[in-house]
Amino acid sequence: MSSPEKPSAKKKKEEIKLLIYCPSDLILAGIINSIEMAKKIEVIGIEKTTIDSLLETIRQNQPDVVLFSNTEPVPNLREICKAIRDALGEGKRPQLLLLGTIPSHEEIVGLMNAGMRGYFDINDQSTQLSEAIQVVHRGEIWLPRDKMSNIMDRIISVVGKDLKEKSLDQLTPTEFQVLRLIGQGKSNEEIAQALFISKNTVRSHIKSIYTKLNTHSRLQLALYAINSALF
Amino acid sequence: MKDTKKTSLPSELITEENEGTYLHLDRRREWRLELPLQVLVKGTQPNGQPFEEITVLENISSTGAYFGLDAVLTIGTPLELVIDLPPKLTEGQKIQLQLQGRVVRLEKRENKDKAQGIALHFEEEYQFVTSD
Repeated sequence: MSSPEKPSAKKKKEEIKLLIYCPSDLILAGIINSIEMAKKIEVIGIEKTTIDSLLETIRQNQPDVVLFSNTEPVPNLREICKAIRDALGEGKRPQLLLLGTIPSHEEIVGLMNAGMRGYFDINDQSTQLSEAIQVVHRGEIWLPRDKMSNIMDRIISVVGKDLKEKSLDQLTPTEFQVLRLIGQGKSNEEIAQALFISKNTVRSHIKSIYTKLNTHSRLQLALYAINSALF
Repeated sequence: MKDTKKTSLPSELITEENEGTYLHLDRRREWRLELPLQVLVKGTQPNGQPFEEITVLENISSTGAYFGLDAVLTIGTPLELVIDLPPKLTEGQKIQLQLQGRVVRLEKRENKDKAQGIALHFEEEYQFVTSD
């Protein structure tokens, strides 16, 4: 029979250990002011000097979340994100929430790829900062609403292009020829004549292409062919 | 001289339920491709004035397309798209892909070349038109 956990110990366990990196006293005061009422967040350290000292503090204190204030342009921000992500090794990775003014959604996608789990824009409502910290602590992603759709479009575009290229690579040379002729609007009979094969063989190739490209629409095949001619 | 060919849904997809329409295609199978192709859009504005406008496709699938347009339209307006296929695909031959559909969504846009975004749902047969 296990003994019940003491309330104070349980509360302590639920608290999020937060490490703040912020070289600016003024912004740091704003951060502290924004999260001081959040009962679930415990600030275990504040770093104001160098990235090396930040990484050392991460290794010593093992925070759950690192809030990195990036209000001054840093040229190697992606490398910093990777270093913070990997500071504790594979076993325990602190979640990284970036606070700053990043202009483009492409940059945000790059930083997320480097380990950032959330981005809190300095112009967002300060009352939401504690919620953002809790969200990234759960392993979820926090992004400003106005940047979310652009970022999702970018991700869909990149992933979709990658899958599409892989799919076309699966086609045999004959299947690719059939696809291109479909893209020219040729009928099965015309394709058979052009490639000196039977109509049944053309149908067989088309069936195979449908399977490989995961589609059942001849128009979609034509669009694939057009796409392959453009890029 | 024009050689017009009509192509419809693949036979395996034509059932009593979906004959004559693309609405019942399984959309999860459809990739929207970003094909920045120049397209001629033909239609009639709500005031009865026919129009033709050149724009560039933003994306397209076998069920619909999205592009910007300056012409003032309403939901449900029928439109025709005429796309010149890339010469690299047609080996220099002039081939157009013609598609018909209806406007299903309008979006006001700022800081774009065209005043509004048009989502078009294809609902008629498409045609490849070859000009010699």
